[in-house]
Amino acid sequence: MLKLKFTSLCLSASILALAAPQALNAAEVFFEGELSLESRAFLKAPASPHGKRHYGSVSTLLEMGIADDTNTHNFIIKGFARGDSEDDNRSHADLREAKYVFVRDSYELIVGIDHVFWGVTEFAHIVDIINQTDAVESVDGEQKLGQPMVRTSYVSDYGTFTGFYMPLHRPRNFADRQGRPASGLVINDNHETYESKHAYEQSEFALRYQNSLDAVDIGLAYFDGTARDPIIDPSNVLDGTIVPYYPLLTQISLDTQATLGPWLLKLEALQKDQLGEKTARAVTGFEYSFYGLAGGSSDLGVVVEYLWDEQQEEAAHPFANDLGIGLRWTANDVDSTTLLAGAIIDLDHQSMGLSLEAERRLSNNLSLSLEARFQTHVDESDLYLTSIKDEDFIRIELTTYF
Amino acid sequence: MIYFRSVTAAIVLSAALIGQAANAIDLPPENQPELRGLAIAQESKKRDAGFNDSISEMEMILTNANGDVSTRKMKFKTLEVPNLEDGDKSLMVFEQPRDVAGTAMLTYSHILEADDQWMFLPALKRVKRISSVNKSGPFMGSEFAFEDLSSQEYAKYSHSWVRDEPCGELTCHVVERKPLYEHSGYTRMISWIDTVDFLPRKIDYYDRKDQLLKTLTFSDYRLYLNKHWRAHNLFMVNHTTKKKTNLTWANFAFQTGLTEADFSQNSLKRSR
Repeated sequence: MLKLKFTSLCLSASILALAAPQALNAAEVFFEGELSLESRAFLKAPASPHGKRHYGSVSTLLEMGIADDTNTHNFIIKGFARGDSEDDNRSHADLREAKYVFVRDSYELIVGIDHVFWGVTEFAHIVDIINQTDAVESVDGEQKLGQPMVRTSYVSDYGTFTGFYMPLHRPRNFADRQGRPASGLVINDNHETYESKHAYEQSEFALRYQNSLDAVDIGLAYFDGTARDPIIDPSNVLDGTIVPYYPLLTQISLDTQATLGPWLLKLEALQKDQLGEKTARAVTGFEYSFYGLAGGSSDLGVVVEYLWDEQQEEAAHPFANDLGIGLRWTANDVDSTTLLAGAIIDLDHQSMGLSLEAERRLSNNLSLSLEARFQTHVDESDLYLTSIKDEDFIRIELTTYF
Repeated sequence: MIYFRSVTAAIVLSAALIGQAANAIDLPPENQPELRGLAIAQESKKRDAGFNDSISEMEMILTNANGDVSTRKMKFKTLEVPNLEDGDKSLMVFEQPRDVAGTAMLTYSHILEADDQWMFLPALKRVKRISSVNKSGPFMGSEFAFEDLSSQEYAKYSHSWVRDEPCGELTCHVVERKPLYEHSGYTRMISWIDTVDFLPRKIDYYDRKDQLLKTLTFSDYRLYLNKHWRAHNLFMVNHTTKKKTNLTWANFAFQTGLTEADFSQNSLKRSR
């Protein structure tokens, strides 16, 4: 049913694009894609009999765009698909974008499926609410599902104003019994329950204001819809899996960054109103860059952020009182080699998670990336991390572009 | 995701320095080298004023000491800012290498203050405001530093005329420039500017130890709108590493009707 809805939305977007006569004088058409091979190896035996030590997978991203010669009317479609050797839920396809874009002077109108990012911090993206997380894709939550929307923006001398209408909610996807990293809880990927009587068809609205005042960039936002983070209640079981519950949510948020020479000072803060309770959450910190290390051409960036949630142990995520420390080394060589090391320390439980990421270009059309994630210390009182303490893994991915 | 550093995208290496074949102008006398040097730079700027906006494409071919080659391709949009306090606005989009295709950079350049720069990361749809203090680092592994590619406003430098001498078939004013902005990788540059059109023909760059580091040669100048000269070939050689970068410009278009709205964060997000 959801898929049907998407198709009809896309169709209406294409009809809109075709109805615009200039769009037929397409001056620019592009098509491009990428194909990735991925291998993930888990260092410890799985806790579940369904889990594996090794997962292989192939994914593709295809993008096509048409614009008229003035770029007034644009149509863009971007599809993603993955096939995983073990995890049936990780094998999935998603329309990341399928949209008609109208631009005239300072106005912009977008109809269709799109992906929008809000925020400034690195260790968590708490104010970023428009798109649902594609949770089977990556541990960092940075991959998102396409969100159907109508969006309009006006750029003025006093900042940029954007309004969103979203006709339906997209539930998060979850790994199957075979999938890893596994938390020990298997969450139903096909059924979910909603607080709204309209379920996933509850209309959603959002407003955003963004401005840059010299060294300071600021974003203010309001969201009224259904939460992206589900509530996982282990007593709500269907076919041996937990059914996620999506409450209604209204949220106001602020994201701001001051850029002062090599210093970036950052703050994201929000207040959410969910199930009759108002709670606050924030991430704040800095990024400092050393350029031309040791007289050479490489750079080192240091990121330090504090993550806080008023809900503490009741929060639906593990970052209620945590410190994140990251180092990003950029070689600035011909192959754009980068290394990223991150540690996140739970200040309540002294648990620590480590991540290492490396990227390098192999040729104009080929690149390689490596990722490793480890829990170096897990305190038994830390329920979140205890559940994934044996899920350390290494991931390698080779991507070719065509 | 690969993080570029501050790409000062304000393109126009040649932009400061354009003009029509005009009558010889009255320069200050040779016994006032600072005034004479400044007047030469101002004349270059004056002759290119009024281009309003431009669209162009750039290709860089990087060659290392072993002869290995790699390519970068980018598209540029520039908006001329008439205000003397500020440099131009620009939007740069990567096309190659493919792993960074769609990555884009928006720059509001300033004269002596740090530029304002935002980078768009297409995989995350994220716009990130970045630090622009990294003037001396290499641009995408090439022999061009970020400061070599930034808006070449004359007020960024002190100028001192050295001598006039033949340069190929032309005669050139030889002018020494010293960066007045912070974080430059250079103590000074020696530039050769021809006496007819006031176009740069060659620049020698001296590093922080005042050793000759790089030489840039401009060629294939073409005239647009009967006023704006653009060098279509810029060849940079690093004398220390023996690496070379050949930069070519193509498909210039001027006065295309771009406005401030085409240089907003919204336009950065749809720049591909």
